[in-house]
Amino acid sequence: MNYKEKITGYEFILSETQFITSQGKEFFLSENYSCEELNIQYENQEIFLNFVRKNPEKTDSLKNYLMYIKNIKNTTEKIYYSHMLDDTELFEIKEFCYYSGKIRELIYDEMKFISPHNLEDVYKLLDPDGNGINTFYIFDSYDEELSEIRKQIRKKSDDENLKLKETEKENEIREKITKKLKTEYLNIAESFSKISYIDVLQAKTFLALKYELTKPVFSQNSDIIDIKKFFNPEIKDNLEKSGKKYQKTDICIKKGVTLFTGANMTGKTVVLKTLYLIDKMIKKAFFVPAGKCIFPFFENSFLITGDEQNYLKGLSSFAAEMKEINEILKHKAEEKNLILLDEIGRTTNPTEGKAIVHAVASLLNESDSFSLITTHFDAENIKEFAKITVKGIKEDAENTENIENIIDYSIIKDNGLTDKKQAVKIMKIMNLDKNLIEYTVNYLKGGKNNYEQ
Amino acid sequence: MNLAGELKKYSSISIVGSEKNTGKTVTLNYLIKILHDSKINIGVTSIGIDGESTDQVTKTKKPEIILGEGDFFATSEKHYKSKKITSEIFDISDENTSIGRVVTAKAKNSGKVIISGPQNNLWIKKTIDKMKKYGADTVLVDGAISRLSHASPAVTEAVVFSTGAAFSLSESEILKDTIHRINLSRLDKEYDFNDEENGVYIKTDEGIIKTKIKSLLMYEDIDRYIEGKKDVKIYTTGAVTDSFLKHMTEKKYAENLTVVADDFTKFFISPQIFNLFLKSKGKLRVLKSSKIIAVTVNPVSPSGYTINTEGIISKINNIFGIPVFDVMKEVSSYEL
Repeated sequence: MNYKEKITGYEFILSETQFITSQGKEFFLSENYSCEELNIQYENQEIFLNFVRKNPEKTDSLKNYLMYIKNIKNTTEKIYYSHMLDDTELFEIKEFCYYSGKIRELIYDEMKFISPHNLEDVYKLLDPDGNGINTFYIFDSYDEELSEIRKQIRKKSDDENLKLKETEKENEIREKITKKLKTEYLNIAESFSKISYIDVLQAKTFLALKYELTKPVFSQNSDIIDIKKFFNPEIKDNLEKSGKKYQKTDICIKKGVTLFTGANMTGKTVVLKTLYLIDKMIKKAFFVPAGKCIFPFFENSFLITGDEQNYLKGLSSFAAEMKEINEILKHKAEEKNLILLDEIGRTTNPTEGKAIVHAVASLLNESDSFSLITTHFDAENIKEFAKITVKGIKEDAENTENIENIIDYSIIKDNGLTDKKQAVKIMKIMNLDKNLIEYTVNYLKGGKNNYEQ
Repeated sequence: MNLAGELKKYSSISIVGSEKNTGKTVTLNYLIKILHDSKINIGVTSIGIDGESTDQVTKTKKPEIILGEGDFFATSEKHYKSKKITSEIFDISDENTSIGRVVTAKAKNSGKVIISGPQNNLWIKKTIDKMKKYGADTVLVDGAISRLSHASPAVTEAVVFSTGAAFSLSESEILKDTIHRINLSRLDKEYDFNDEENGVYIKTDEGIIKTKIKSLLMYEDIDRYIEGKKDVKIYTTGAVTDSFLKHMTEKKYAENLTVVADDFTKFFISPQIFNLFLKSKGKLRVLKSSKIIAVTVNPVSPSGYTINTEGIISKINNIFGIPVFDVMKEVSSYEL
């Protein structure tokens, strides 16, 4: 698993997506959607969700039947290439037809578009006695001669000649059955693929229900990201497990560069990670963790956070970051990207760091991309970019060890009025070493000019 | 009470041998036959020891079993394909062995099948349950006692022990070993531990802890956990060995000690050490009890010697009151 998928909570989403069959998961992993295809995917997803809501009992049966669907992909390929199937493979096809039929019965009226085909003829071919029981061998009733040979074998069980005759006859019949199956190849293979898709839909639907995800509204031409009450499912889950509350927030940003300021610990990094997560989820046609979500279709998405793994490759944190930014700038001419940068330039000195932020922002602002850049550097005098900030420490904040209780995570337009130098305030609320706080305050008073340059 | 009557009390029975070539296959075929003749619906499977590679190392050939019409069996795909009987497939497992999935089927006529089954307890249980669901009254499991195996024959309700001239040509040696095995299979059940993940656990008056020791082979590391403690219970998910029990006795820990294993097949100990440990007031217990309910003796050794089995049969029968029979004679002495 990719490092960014881990830190943004996408890995968590994947682990919470419960496929019933291995082929369902395979199907999911192999699919990538264009913007138009995504719209169809979301429609299907919504129809399936409504089905689940309306038919809890049918849904239980559906999930139960899915457990019996084995991976018959190799067997269907053998049918396609006219390789004679053996008894275990014929058994698999028979069992598949049975449960495929059960699934069809359940969903055909309401969801014809994902319903497997009618495979009754195939089932009948493999159930010549019409028992309706899911067992298989080359039944006596396939061939009178075979039945006769077997009768003789029962009397003379060690006659090798008779056994040989039986095997020859059986293979003859297997060849015939395989030939007939070939005429049904498309029906079988498509039904298998549809059922795999049903598994994908059910897995996504139950994820959406569990985490209260919603269908996003998106289009190629949208020039706004407008999300209400969004959240990061993994972090929310962890907080709630330890009895804490997660504050959902809204965000609205337009095409171009938006600078994102705010005090420490106000969740700016989480916002970036969650936007990245939402983009990832949309590309795989998941519902998204938000109350309402308008989102453009991005060609690429980039996220740079301070906790990159590149350090492991022996690069300094600064060099690693600059290399990544350079990569992003190479893409800037492309149609539309989502670029999320977390405090770039922070690992070098403030003077040059600020210059780097400004340079990167200026270059990105010329492109068609959406860029959100968090920074601690003073952005008050920068007028050319949109700016947002986190409300931050509540007015009535009291000393506490639970920082999340005293912070209002709401994201608002930065009108330059909010106080962004809240580090000392937070240090005080956290009851840190008095001398440390005093020194910091004194330094700020005395050395203000120094710092500002 | 005849043997079939005794066997049919249990819905699953494994056949365990004291040594290779003690006639386990002969026993299995014999049991199949008498159950079949008594009109009892049977199922047959085997505990797999990690597939073919092990078979090649230990040079044991998987036995060919003779089934009758209507009998159920579960074997791996590879062996299913090489079967010499006509049979109807009822199920194919989701799990894989190194030689394919396990196919459960019903014999449509009599003939030979090679049986190689699931490789862990849960899977064996599932396979037994499936055959019962399809109609088998008693499922026979070709068991193996092996430290390498993840599965234990004690997963079944009862055990038939098979011994004979392949184990020893001496009547008294066979007797000693068989009595020892039956005694082990009758150890009391222990309730203080559950089926835990692999490791060594110790219970003292301070509660149960999982030790950092991986197996009782590192028995000297155990001392510091139990030194000076009273009423100690040691549970291992692995094997209990002679050297461990000897060490515990020599260190005078035995008097306060209960040693617990998953089941009796996990005790790889000699009768001498077993008796020494019990004499020192140590206790041995099992989490899962599965008793030896019958013994079979094969009088013929692999090199062709034949021993007299009458003494063995009557002595074991006298001590334990369970059916004991010579697999080369058609009728069990118990029935006579």
